[in-house]
Amino acid sequence: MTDPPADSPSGPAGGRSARRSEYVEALVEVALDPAVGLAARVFDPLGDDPQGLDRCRTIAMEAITSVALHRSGRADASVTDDHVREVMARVAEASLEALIGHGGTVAFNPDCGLERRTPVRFAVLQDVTSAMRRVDRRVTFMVLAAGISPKDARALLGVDEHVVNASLRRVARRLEEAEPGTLEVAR
Amino acid sequence: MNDAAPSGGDPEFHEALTRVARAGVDPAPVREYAMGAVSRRMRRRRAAGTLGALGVLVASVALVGLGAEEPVHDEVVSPSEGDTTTTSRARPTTSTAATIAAPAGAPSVAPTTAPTSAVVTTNPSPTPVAPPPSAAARTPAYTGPRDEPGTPSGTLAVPGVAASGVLDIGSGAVGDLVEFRLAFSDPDGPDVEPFVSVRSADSPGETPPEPPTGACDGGPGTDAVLEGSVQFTRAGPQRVEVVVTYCEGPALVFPHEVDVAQPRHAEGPGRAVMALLADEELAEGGAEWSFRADDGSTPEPVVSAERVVHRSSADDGSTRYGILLVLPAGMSGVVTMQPDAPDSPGFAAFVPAEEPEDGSPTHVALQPQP
Repeated sequence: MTDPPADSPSGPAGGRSARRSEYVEALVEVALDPAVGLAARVFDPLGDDPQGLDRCRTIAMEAITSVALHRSGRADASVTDDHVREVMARVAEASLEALIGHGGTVAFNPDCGLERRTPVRFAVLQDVTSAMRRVDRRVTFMVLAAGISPKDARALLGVDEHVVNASLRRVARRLEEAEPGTLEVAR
Repeated sequence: MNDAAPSGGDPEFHEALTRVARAGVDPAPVREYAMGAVSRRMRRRRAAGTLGALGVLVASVALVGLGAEEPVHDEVVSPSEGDTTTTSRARPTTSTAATIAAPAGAPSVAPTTAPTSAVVTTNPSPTPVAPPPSAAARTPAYTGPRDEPGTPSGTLAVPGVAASGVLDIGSGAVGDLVEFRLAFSDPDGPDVEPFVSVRSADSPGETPPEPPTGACDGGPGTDAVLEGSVQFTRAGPQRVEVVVTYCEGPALVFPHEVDVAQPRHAEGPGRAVMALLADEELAEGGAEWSFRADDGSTPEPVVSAERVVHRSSADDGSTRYGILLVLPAGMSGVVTMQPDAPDSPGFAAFVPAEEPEDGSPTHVALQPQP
């Protein structure tokens, strides 16, 4: 790469090119570890599965790249919390899709207000939520699949508490319809 | 942490990030992948014209003589990658119709690279941004003939710029995606992403070109073909310049003139309406559009098949993002937009029957509905 520096005599275009590189670097720096960590809660929970970790890295990489493509072209491109939230949201969606055929079972966060009566398989969770709204899928992965607290999910997605709770209620209803007797709503 | 990194922000969010993070993944390949993807963005869009898969960067032409209460410049921003668009009706891209031939003696250029396209443009801006000095100095006066719709011809005249080429640009109606194809001698080589803008030569306003992404290390003299599409927002004759800008060196300017037809609607003559939103994400996302006329009819708005977002600077300095709709002419009513985005409210705006006399679209600001 030979991008001219921001103060290059090549002018504003060169400067913007350098800023775009800076943007990508900054986004990777800030978002990579959390993005990998979110996916790893399902695909490499014990930190002993190189293949699972590789999958997490791929998911994180795609999410970061998508956001970079979407955001880095802006004239005032700088990484904001919203950009990192967007990465996390995309990781959640991609991770949920990647649960197809997953043989494991979910580990609800105890604060989510739902209790399992019988084990809920990842694959069922994915199937049930596949046609649901995007926010529902994101919350589903974070809270029900990855076991993140609703409070952290709220912060990571940048949504209000009632949004998370409403999503969880909708998902619980769908799960109940799909597999009656699976869940108990604890609150 | 570099200058582009966030600082401060929501502590709850950053604590949550810390709790979920897992360290130890080498960032270098991720960074390289992302940089490469950004770098390839323009190329993919160029390829989209022929492959029909990867999205097209779309351009817009200025509205000349726009009303004072309207945004003073429109700039097209790209469709966001990876998103899907739901529009009320797809309108096919208009095929190429008019051609500008290279000047006598200019080297003919064979297409050797995937076509590109790109962005931008223009109405008089309240705070005009000057083009790169080289571009400004070398921008030629238009000398080519005027084309009638569908009538080919014209000669490129680009004095002072060491470039020549062939520009094909179609004719069409307001709201159409009109394809253009530019074959020229690339001064920087195939690995350097050019930034291509289509702007109105009738307007003094300039929007700053986005920089090309990637390295500026290509060799000169490579044949190149750029392809893209432009969405005209105003009917009538317009002088258009396709400008190719690189990191370094002069901008290449290819002038042309087109006569944009009145918009068409399935139910008869159409009229263009620019529906404006303050939220860029919503504007770029998919949406269902509908229109209820005051007479109770519900003619379907026509939205371009390719999502084209026009960036507008309002008088108060704020930025708004517009989608060009085509509605039946002479009708007033309420246009509504229901974004695909989760939990998003619907938006609506009243469209008056009166239309600007200069052929420019009626601008309406969409307001969230309870």
